[in-house]
Amino acid sequence: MTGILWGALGGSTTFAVLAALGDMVSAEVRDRLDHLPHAILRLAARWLDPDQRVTVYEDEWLPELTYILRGDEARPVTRLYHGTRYAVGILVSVRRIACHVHRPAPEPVTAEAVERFVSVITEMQSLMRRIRSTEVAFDVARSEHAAARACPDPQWPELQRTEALVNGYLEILSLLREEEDRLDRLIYDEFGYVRG
Amino acid sequence: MQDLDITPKMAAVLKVFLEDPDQPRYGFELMKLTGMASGSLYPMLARLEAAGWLARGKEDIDPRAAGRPARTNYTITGAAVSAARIQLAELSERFRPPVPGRLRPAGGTA
Repeated sequence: MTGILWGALGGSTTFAVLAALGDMVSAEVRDRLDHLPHAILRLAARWLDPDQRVTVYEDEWLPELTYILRGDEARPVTRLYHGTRYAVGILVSVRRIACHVHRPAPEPVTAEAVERFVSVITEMQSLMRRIRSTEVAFDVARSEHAAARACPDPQWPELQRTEALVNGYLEILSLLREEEDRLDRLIYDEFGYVRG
Repeated sequence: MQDLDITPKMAAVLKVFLEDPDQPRYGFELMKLTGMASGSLYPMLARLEAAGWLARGKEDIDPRAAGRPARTNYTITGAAVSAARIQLAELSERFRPPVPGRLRPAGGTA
């Protein structure tokens, strides 16, 4: 008799725990699914200019999506369907939307900005010439080093000299490449251009 | 206000605005009324606004009381009302099926 009572107690406890777990899992899934339309919309907003993000994403899309997800018809499946459909539609057409949405007029180009641009480009051109001539010198040194290695012992000093030259040019090239990267980043950050 | 080539989808949107020109319309509401997806509707709204046919406004609610941010709405501009009516009439005329010819007795000649 006691066994039956314990069994019933155990069964009802297990049932209560499982029911609570089911509710928790259901709430967790519902919460995560609610984030899906927002995530899609955030992805779409990446295609907008920073200024457009305020007028279009924050002022228009986001409040509309919130309304859809919290509106009167906001049953879990319905809101997920409407919210996701809304967000996906915007994601696929975001480029067309961005084309028509007002963009603030670009700031007028000043003489100082032009001068700075010309100066940076000139610096880059000069650097490219130095890289090219160093590459040529490096190729010559490498050929001489290969020839020296093929020679017998009396040529040993020549081998050392050419090896030092090859290593020297390699170091110079590495420094020049670092400088090239720095200028590339500067040209992109300041003027929005990349070298083709 | 710029001239626009009105497409049938655009006509469906303008028709909703013309039903009550003073009534602000919301994106999701327009989607339901026209049956259009957001992917078609929003580029069109942006185009109509850029051309000066629609004006953008803000929903008149207290966000804290409503528990959500105020939505953006659109209203048709005064100049666009008459232009839209004319364009819709022209579009309707273009797509109107031809009137069948007059009946005549079989074998006869009008």
